[in-house]
Amino acid sequence: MNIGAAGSNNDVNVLNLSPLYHAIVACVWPPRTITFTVNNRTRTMSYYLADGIYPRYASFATPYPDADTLKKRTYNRLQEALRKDVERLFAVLTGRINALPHPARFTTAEKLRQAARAVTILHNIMVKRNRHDYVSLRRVAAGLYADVAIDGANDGAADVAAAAVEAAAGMHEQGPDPVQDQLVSVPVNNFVNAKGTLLCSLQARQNALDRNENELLRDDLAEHIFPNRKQFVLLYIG
Amino acid sequence: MQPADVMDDDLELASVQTVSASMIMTRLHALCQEVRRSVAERRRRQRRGSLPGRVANLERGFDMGIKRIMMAYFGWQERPPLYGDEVFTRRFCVGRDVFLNMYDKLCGRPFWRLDVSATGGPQSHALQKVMVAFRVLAYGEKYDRADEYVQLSKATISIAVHKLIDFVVEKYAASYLRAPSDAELCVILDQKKAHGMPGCIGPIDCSHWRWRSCPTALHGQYQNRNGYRSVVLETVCDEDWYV
Repeated sequence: MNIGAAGSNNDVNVLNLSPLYHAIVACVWPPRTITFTVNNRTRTMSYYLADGIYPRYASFATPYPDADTLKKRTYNRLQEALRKDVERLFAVLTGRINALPHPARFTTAEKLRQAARAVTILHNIMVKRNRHDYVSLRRVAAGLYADVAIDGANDGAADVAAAAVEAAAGMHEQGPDPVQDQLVSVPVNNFVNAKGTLLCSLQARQNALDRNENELLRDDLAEHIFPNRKQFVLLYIG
Repeated sequence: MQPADVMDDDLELASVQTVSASMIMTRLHALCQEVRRSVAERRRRQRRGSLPGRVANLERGFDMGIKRIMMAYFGWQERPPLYGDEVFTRRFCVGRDVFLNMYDKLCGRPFWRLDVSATGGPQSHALQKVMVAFRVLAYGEKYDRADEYVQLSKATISIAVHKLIDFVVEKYAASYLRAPSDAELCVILDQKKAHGMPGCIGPIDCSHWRWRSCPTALHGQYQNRNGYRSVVLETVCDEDWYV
């Protein structure tokens, strides 16, 4: 999350200010070790879903501005549906933490940024704790335990059930202390820059910001989605 | 200027100029007096209340505030708390365990801990300050809104909020506000693959947070297209809204 660009900037300017953009340009992020295949083309460059205003870079999957065929429209529909997660996030954040919908009263922009960071962290802590806390998981575990308790005699099975309950509990219990959550090192797959030559990084930068690659990716994704559109898109059409 | 430094300087002076011991003592005394006077003067300029020449502090009765909080959320005199876990989580946007965890870490720190005031009476309890800071963040209310409930002044609450924000960012930013690790990234990619977008990390978008007390000099810079002052939050998130 990047906080603190002044309100007069539009999304593209904010992107250009953000550390994410600089990481992409410097080929630090996203990691190139991850490969995926779309429409028989294997790529190493993961991408973000962005809306129409974002520039046509290889690391953003943007919608078709002119969706004239069914294939393009299907792609746009799925892209919108998945992109909506972040729109919902803003609604959830403002709903949960009521400081956000109200105008902030901090005297400096830095204090405001700090506050936004704190609020996001609180939100993340709660999301992480509740992530696997679905009712179904608990019920399955409890049901298993109840079955065994009725059978009664077999001690070994009771142990297994208890272990299952613990496992189910462990899924959403990230440990009692959120601070003890180990600091996982952020992967820096900087192999392009590791060679240390300017030409290499320039080449990589060009790859990351390639407009043709963006269009190719979009076409490939559309091709990938279209044959399976019932599986992917029907969910959202309702 | 520290008294120790004063003494050192003077002793040095004495060794050079061979001044008598009584003279040194007189000078030292005068210096200490001066330092004390300047410190008192500075304090008088910075602070209000509980100093001569200032408005008296209100008799708030901090006990009442802590009692109310305990009755409502944590149980008082072996009676169960009035509000359950669900209400607590909904109101404060963090669970009771996370809240208590943070309280445990904060309650020994200089600003937060239960202290003795200049008059010898106890000052407000750490729980009051933590609670009110969470209230301001989670309810989005003004600083002195909760005065009647937790019995703290506006200034204390303002300090508490800023200290809590700083504490949270300093303590948790490394583990809760960072790019995903390799394992997390794999999970995200698998989820997106199941949705028909292999290789997708997540959606990216911007939102605005309105800034009411923006300085007039910065109005042009922070004014957005809807005509109010705001700061942009640019976010990437995953399916569970993990930012």
